[in-house]
Formats: sequence, C-alpha cells, structure tokens
Amino acid sequence: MTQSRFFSSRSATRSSADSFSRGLVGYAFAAAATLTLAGLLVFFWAPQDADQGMRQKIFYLHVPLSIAALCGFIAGGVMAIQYLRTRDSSWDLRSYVAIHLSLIFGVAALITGAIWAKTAWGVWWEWKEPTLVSFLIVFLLYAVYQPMRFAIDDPERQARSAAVYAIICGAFVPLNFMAVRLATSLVHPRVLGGAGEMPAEMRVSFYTSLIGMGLLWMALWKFELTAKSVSMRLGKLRAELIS
Amino acid sequence: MNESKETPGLFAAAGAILRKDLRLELRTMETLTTAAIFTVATFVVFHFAFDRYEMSGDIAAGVFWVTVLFAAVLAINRLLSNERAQGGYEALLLAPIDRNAILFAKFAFLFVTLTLLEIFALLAFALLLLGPALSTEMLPLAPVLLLANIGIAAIGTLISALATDTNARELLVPLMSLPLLTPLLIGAARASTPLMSLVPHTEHLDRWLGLMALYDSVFALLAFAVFEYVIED
Amino acid sequence: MTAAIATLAALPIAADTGGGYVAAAYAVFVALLLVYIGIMAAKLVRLQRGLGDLQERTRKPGDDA
Repeated sequence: MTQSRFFSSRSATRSSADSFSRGLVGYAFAAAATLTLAGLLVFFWAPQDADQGMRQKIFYLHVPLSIAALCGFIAGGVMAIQYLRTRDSSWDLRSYVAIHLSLIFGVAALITGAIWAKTAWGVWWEWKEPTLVSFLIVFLLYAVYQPMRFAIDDPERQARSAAVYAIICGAFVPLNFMAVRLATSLVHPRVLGGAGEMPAEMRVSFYTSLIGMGLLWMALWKFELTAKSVSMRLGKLRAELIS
Repeated sequence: MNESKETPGLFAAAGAILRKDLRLELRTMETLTTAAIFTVATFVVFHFAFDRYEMSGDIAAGVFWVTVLFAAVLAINRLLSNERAQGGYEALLLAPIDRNAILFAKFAFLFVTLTLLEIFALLAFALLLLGPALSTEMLPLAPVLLLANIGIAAIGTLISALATDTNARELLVPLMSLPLLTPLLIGAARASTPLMSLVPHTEHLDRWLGLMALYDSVFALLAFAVFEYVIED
Repeated sequence: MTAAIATLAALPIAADTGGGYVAAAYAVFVALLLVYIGIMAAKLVRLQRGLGDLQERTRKPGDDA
C-alpha cells in the first residue's frame, strides 16, 4: 500500500491522467513536421558557414538539444515548487519526468558537443568552451537526482526531497554558467554563441530547429507522463482487485 | 522542559542546539580530528603525486582548496548523521521549535568547524608544501575563506538534510556536493592563486569575492526557503 | 577494411568540411531517439501483459458463477 502511494492516488485519478495526454498527439505531429522542416532548411537552404563549412551544421542540433535540456531542468524545478505548494503528487510526477527526459537530452547534447569539439578543434573535449563545461557540471548534478530519489523508501518523503533537490539544482544552473564563464579565459573565440551575427537564413533554420526540439521535448514528456500514469492506474486497479 | 506556554524563540533554540553540538564536538573532537588528519594525509598524497617539495601559485591554490573541499564533504557527511544515529534527530523534530532553528544551528556549527579546520589546514599547508612563507600579504585570504565557508555551510546543511533520509548517504553526499560546490571552488581557487604565488599579490580579487558573495546569498536564501520541507515529518 | 577506411579518410569532403562528423552527430540523435522508443515499447509490452493478467483475474469469478 505504501508503495502505491508513490504511484499516487491523486495523480491516478482520471482527470489528471487525462490532462497528461491532452495535446500529446498534436505535439507529436507538430514536432515531426517542424523537425523535418528544420532538417530541410539546415541542409538545403541555410548557407555553408564561411569558416567552418559543413561541420557548422552540428550547431543546429547541439545547441537546440542543450537549450531544451536546460529549459527542461529549470521547468522541473518550477514543477517541484508547484508540488511543494500544492502537495498534488501529479506535479511531482511532472517534475520527475521533466528531469528524467532532460537528462536524456543532456546525453545527446554532450555527445554532439564532443563531436563538434572534435571537428572544430581536433579534440573530443574542450575545457576552454565555458558553455560545454558548465553543461557537464549541470549534467553531473542532475545525474544524481534519480539515485537520490530512489534511495528514499517513504514515497511522500521521496517526493519532497526530490522536489527540494530539483529546486536547488534549478537555482544552480544560471549561477554555475556565470561562474564557469568567469573562470574561462575570455581570450578564446566564442564559437557556440553569437546567434545575432548569423545570416538570416541560418538564424531562421536555427530557430526552426529550436522550436522543433522544444516540441519534441513536450511530446516525449507528455508521452512518458501518459505511459507512467496508465501503468500506475493499472497497478492501483490490480491492488484493488487483489485486496 | 519548563512549563511556559511559549516555545523558545528561533535564535534561542538555534543557540541551544549549537551549544550542544559544539560541546559535543569539543569533548569528542570527532569531526575536527578526523578532518584534520584527512587534510594532512591528503597533503602527503599530493606531495608524492606531484613529486614536489614546494608549491606556489595555481598548483598551491588548487591543492589547498581540493583538500579543504574533500574535508568539508567529510564534515557534511557527519553533520546530521550523528544526530540520526543516536536518536537525537527525532527528538529535534519533536521539539516545539521553529524548524529553521535546526538550519541555523547546523549552519553555524558547520561554519565554525570549517573555519577551525581551514586555519589548521593553512598552517599545515604552509609548513609542509606552500612555497611562499605566510605573511601579512596573504591576509586577503581571510575574506576568501569566510565567503567559501558561508557557501559550503549553507549547501552542506541542505545536502546533509537531504541525504540523511536516504539509504546511500555516504555515496550521495559527495556526488551532490561536488557539482554544487564547484562555483565556490572556482572563486576560492582563482582568488587564492595570486595570493599563494611566490610574490603574494591580489588580482581580480573583487571579481572572485563578488562571485562567491552572490553564490552565498542565493544559496543561503534558498536554504532558508526550502529547509523546512526537507526535514518535515 | 583498413584500405576502405583510408579511402574514406582521404575523401576530400570528409576531410575538408567534417561531413562525416555531422552525419555522426545526427546519427547519435536518431539512435538515442530510437533507443528511447525501444524502452517505451518494452514498457508498453509490460503494460499489455499486466492488463492481460488483470483481465484473466476479472474473468474467473464470472466463469464460476
């Protein structure tokens, strides 16, 4: 019975379970359309970068992935605040799935970042790129979220501690970026930033990719929330039938 | 317990817990001795790892702050688990006091422990490895230590409260602390580098102190805002 | 095999513009997405099994009656 409280009774009610899946199909198709469009724009419309040539195309993948992951992390913190305020465990579930999903986006961002470092600077890791370094630190911090969460037995306490941790980490993200930026010698040319100086075609392609990635994040988030709530409702139904 | 209807004030309660902790620490010297031995052992390890008799500048600052950081993790690990092991934690939660009294007391205790530990570590470091002799030129280290300690104490109290509920405390405390303390390490190590160079001087000191002060204030406020949720029962 | 890799590396496109790296980056993205779908598929199968099990349980009393 205590176990089924993490799979909370309130989040398993029909109304909130339905709200998880609301818009899921729309997001999924919007993400598919936007990402396809973005791919076409990136490879057939945006001009080749004068200095970097083809390899600059990783930018359209790596940066939206990182931004989606970071926004997801911060959104997870905001949902955690919402949980602490309302004690509605559906917010805990939302926060958990947001952080979990952003971690996966983070893995993709780190791998594509390493590939970019390799093609741009000839090394798999570049300490002089503050954004990449900050991202690794943030990733390491969030990687502890799940182990911490599941090292707590009591489901209610688990939700509370996880929420507090998510809030601490959410506040950490911007401060950490500032600290690492300060620590990196500013002599190094910035390659990942400076979207303002790009030609219009590049900028449009980039923003299309960014929107597509955001829609993909939303779609996967709703997808996983729906899957989790369905399996919780099933578990609850089984518990009711057996008892 | 007296029969007065009023519960003890926030600071009275915090002071009582702090006094209890300090007295306990003075009698057993549990955290301080282990952390002190740890710092000396770490300096010995660094001597062999780098094969150096003396260090200065960025290497010295790095070795000193990494050692302090790991010693701090040891102290964070002990901060609330001692209470828990002896049943004091439940008693604290049952006491009719503001939960923030626990935060303030533990924060202050960790701050005092860290300060004492760093004074010892700095002396040991100067004796064993540091190239330039301790001088008044190194006095700007004092605000660096102060700001580092405030930050470590605020984050450490939060983490220790979070980790004490888990069944993998020893593992989770370092995993959670190291990334969270990295910005402080950046500030402290960068500020200490010129101070520990062969001709001690200050360079960009205000920038690093500013960074640490900002970090400290955000996490002190955050600890104040969320602590009651961590230990609520 | 090594000869093939050597020819690949010698290709002017791959060497000059890092097209191979771009392909690798996008492949990583697609692969991760597919792995995610795979994991969700495994969960779906488990869900289906749970539902089937539940269906069995609910049918039995009816059969007895």
